[in-house]
Amino acid sequence: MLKAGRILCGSGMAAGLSGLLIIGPITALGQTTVIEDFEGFTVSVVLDPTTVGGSGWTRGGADPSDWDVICCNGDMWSLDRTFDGSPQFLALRRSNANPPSFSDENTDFSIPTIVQGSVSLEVNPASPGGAGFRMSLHDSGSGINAMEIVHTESGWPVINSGDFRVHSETGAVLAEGTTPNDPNGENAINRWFRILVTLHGNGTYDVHVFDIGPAKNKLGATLPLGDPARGLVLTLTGANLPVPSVDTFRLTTGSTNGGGQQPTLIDNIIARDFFGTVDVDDIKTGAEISFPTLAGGVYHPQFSDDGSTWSDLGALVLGEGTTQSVVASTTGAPANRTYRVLEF
Amino acid sequence: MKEFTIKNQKSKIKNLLVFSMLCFFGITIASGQSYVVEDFESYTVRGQTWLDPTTVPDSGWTRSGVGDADWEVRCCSGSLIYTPGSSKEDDAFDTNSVKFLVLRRSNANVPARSDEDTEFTFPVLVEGTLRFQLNPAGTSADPFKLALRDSGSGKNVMQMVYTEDRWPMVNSGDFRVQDSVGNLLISDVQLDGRPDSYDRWYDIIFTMHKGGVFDLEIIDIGFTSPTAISSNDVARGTLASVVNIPAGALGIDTFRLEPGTGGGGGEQPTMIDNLTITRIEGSTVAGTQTGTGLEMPYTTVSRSIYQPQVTEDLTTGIWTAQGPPVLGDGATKSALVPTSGADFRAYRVVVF
Repeated sequence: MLKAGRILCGSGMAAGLSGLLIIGPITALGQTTVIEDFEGFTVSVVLDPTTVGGSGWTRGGADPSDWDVICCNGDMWSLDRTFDGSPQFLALRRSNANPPSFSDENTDFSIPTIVQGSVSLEVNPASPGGAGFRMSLHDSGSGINAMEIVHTESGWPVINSGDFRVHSETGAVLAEGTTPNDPNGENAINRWFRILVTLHGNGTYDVHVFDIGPAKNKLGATLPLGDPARGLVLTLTGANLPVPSVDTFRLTTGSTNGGGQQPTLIDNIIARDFFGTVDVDDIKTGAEISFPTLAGGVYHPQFSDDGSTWSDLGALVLGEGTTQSVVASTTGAPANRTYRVLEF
Repeated sequence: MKEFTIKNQKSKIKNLLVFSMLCFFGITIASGQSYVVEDFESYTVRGQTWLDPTTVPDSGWTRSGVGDADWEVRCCSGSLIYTPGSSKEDDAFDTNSVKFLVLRRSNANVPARSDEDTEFTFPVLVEGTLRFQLNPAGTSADPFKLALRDSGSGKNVMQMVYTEDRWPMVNSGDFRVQDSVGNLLISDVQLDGRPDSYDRWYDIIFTMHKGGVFDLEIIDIGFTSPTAISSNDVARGTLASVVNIPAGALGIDTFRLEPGTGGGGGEQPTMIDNLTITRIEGSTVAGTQTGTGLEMPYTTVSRSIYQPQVTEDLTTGIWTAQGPPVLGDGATKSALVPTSGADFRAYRVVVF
C-alpha cells in the first residue's frame, strides 16, 4: 500500500572548512517520499493491487491482472522469499500455468512528480527466456516512457546468464550489465537486485543496478551456493532524459512468463522528489596523493609506516595522461606514514 | 608461502632461511620481478595429520567460515589420506615434495562439499603469471572451483570449474572456464581412459598482461603417482588455451577456492600444489605529492544506497558524483574526497 511521507519542517547542518562545505541532512517543504513495500495490503491468497482504492496502482486492461500482491513469503506462487524477510511482495502472475504467458498490459504505480530525485526498487527476476522483467519511468503528461530497464537471460551477450539492459525512449541500447551464472550452473536469476534511477534535474539521469545477494527459498534458506552480494552490475550515468519529469512507475508489457513457481518478484519501491542527505559523522583531514600518469598506464598507490613494508591503498588506477589523485584515510595512522605510487 | 624478491642485474641467493611455518627467500636476479611460491613444504604438519593454513599468521591464507576448514595442508604424500597405505592414494606430482593442499570436505566429512571461500592473497599481479598444479577429485559435481579476483573492484576476472558429471559428457573430466562477465571460454572434455581423467595432474597457467587482458592454458602433465592403476597414457599436453581475454580489471590479487558442490573424493581428494606467482614489480612514480584531502564518515543502513557528491558552485544546483555509489550494509563508510585544484568545493552524501 502506498505510504506518503510529506516533510513539513526542515533542519540542516553545514560545516565550513577553509573554503570547503560539508552538507548534512537538509529537508524542505513539499518533499515527498513514497514507499511501497506491499505490507499494507490484506491478502488471503493473491490480490490485484489495482482493485484497492487509493493504492496508487492502476492497469491498462480488463483481463486478469499481470501483477499480484502475494502473501506470504514463498507460500503461494513463489518458492522464493523477499530479500528483507517481509512477507508480502509483488509477483508476475503471468506464468506457464496462466496464459497468456507474458504481461499484456501496463501496470502503473503513481509516484510524486520527480524533476530531481530518485526511484529505487528490489527485484528478483524470473528465470524463463525472453525478458522476465520490464519497467520504465513514465511521464503521463507527454505519454512518454523516459527509459526502459529490462532483465533477460536469453541474450546480450551471454545466453542463459542474467543481463540487465537500459533502453532509451526510442529503444536504443544505453547500457548493459551482465550477472554471470556461476560456471557450475547456479543461475543469476536466482538473485535479488536493487535498481536505482536518479534524475538530476538538469535533463540527465543515471541508472545503477546492484546485485544484493542470492534468493532464499520458502524455507528461508539461501539457495545452494549462491555468491554473496556482488555489488554494482550496471552503471549508466548522464543519460539524456527525454521528458521534463516522471510521475509513474510503470511495469511495461512484454515481461515474459512468470517462471511458474519462481516468478519475477518486486519489493520495496521507494520514490523521492528530492535528494536526501545523511549526517557526516566526524569530518577529518585525509591524505591526498597526486601523481602524474600516462594514458593507459596502471598505477597503484601504497603506504608504509616503517619505510620498508608497503601496503596497498585502494584499487588500481588506470592512467588518463593527467595528474590524478587518490585520497587515503589517516585515521589511526602514525605521523610518519609515507606514501608512494607504483607504475606498471 | 615463500617470497622471492628480484633486484638488480646479478644473481645470487641472498638469504635462505627456513622457518617452521613459512619461509621468505630473497633472491637477487633481475630487475623488477618477484616470485611468490606456495608449495606448502614449509608448514609444520605434525603427527601425520593436517593443518588449516588459515590458522598460520602471515601465511596469506584466509577463509570466510568458522567451522571446519575446507582446505588443508597434508603431509606426507600419499600416506595420510583416510586410509594409510591404501593403494588408491595420490601423491604430489613432484615426488620430492611431500606436502600439498587438499579438499578436506569429502564423503567422509559432512558436509560433503566445500561451504566457504578459502583465499590466498598476494601482491597485485598486473603483469606476470600465476601457475599451479591440480589433481581434481573423482567425485561427481564440482570438486574444484576457482576464482581469480581483483579485491579492489570485487570482480572475478576468471572462474574455473572441474567436474565429471556435466558439460557435455557425464563421467568424463571437464574443465569449464568463464570470463568476468560470464562468457564461456573453455569447455574442455578430458576423456576417461586409464586412469580416469581426474586421476591426473594438470598445470594451470594464467598470464596477466598489462592493460587488463589475460591468457590461460591448461596442460595435462601426467597421471597421478603413486597409483595402483597402470597406465601408458602419459602427459597429454595442452588441453585448452585462450589468449587476450578482457579481464574486467587491471590486475588480480586473490586466488579464491570457492564453495563447490562436490565432495573431496574420500581417499583421493582434490589436490593443489606449487602455486607460483611471477610478477613484474611496479616502479615508483616520480613527482608524487601528498596533500590534504577530506575523510567524511557516515553511517549506513543495510540495503540503502549512498552517493558522495561534490560541487564547486552551489548556485548551479549541479552536483557531481564522487566515486561510484555505495551499497549500505549497516557499517560506517567513509567518503574520501580531494581538496586540491579548486578555491571552493561543497560535499554531501546523498542517500537513496
